[in-house]
Amino acid sequence: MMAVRARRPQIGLSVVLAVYWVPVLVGLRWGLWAGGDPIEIAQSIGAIVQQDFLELPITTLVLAPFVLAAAVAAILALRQHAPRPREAFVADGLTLLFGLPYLLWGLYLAVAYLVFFAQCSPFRPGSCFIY
Amino acid sequence: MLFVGGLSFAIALAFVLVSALGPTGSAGKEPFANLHGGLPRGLEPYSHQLQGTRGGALGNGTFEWNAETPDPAATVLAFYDQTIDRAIWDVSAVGRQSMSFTYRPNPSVRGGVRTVDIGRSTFIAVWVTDLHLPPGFPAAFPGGPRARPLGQPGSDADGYVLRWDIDGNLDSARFVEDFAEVLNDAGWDVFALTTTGPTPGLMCRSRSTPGLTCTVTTSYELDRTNSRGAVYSANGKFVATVRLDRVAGR
Repeated sequence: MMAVRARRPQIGLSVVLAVYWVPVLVGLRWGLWAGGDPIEIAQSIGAIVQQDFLELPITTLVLAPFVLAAAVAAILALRQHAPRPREAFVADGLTLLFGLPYLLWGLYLAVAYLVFFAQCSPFRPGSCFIY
Repeated sequence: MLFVGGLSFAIALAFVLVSALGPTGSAGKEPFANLHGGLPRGLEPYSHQLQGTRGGALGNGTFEWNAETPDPAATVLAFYDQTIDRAIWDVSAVGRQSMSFTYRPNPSVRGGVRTVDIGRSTFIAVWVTDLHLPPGFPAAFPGGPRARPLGQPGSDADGYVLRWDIDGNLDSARFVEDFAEVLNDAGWDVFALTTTGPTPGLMCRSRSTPGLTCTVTTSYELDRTNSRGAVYSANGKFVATVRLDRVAGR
């Protein structure tokens, strides 16, 4: 438990970076399936990043709570004035650097979807559903 | 640094692998949607095409690539018969308008080339779909045009029952017409065909194993679980129920 607590900044940063690994791994999987040569793999990774990156918070929704927890823990740690190792400080900073855009983008997508479904109710006349 | 890199990679890898086990989740979807314009391994784009798509997926575990060519269907099918990598694909039939094949590493994955004469040119559809077929399902029975599996296949002492989402077709009558051609090309005699009315369907019999018969019925099913979410004209889909008698086939 103590070891986990001591590594908390690094674990938090790992969770945040994991969401960015996901499209790379999915692209790698596609590339291997499509032939497995380096060009094929690179094109597959490029294609999946191009196609799915904007929806990353949706495809990695399961990881979002962990990213949120890591970001909150990093914010709380950065607000403390007690001296800390430089490594932990950098890890918390990187956690926020990569985690906050992901969370904000996820929040934006959630609001956009909510607005869309609120506006496009099939039971509202004149909504965007075609009947 | 190594700790962070390794742990983040491990988390992502676990996430992708777990997602692949589930029925949904785009992170783990089967890679049939080959978005950069290539076809699945062992399948070539037709060499003499007027125009073609980059290929795409109708859903999880599906791939389709379309093109148009001035060549007749026979030339197109001969091209695929000659160029398909038989180490990867097991060609089960080459007919007058279509050919059918099975993915050797996983016989549940079926594919085919379908041609449609559209006047001065021929429309080509090369497709691959994971039909989630049960073990022992006859390899000679082809997949249907733009058919996606629904749920798990059923099997009993008499045969197999599959349910396919055929909403990618214009309507169920068109699906039945097209599937009848595919079956005919794959060595099945279609001895009953209904393409009018609310529930088009067909019945077929294997030419090589006459005791092996199929019954395909179609219907329009309302999706009651998704009544508020659909953006389409109605909350439902065309569904085909395929029954295959397996007793004589074994």
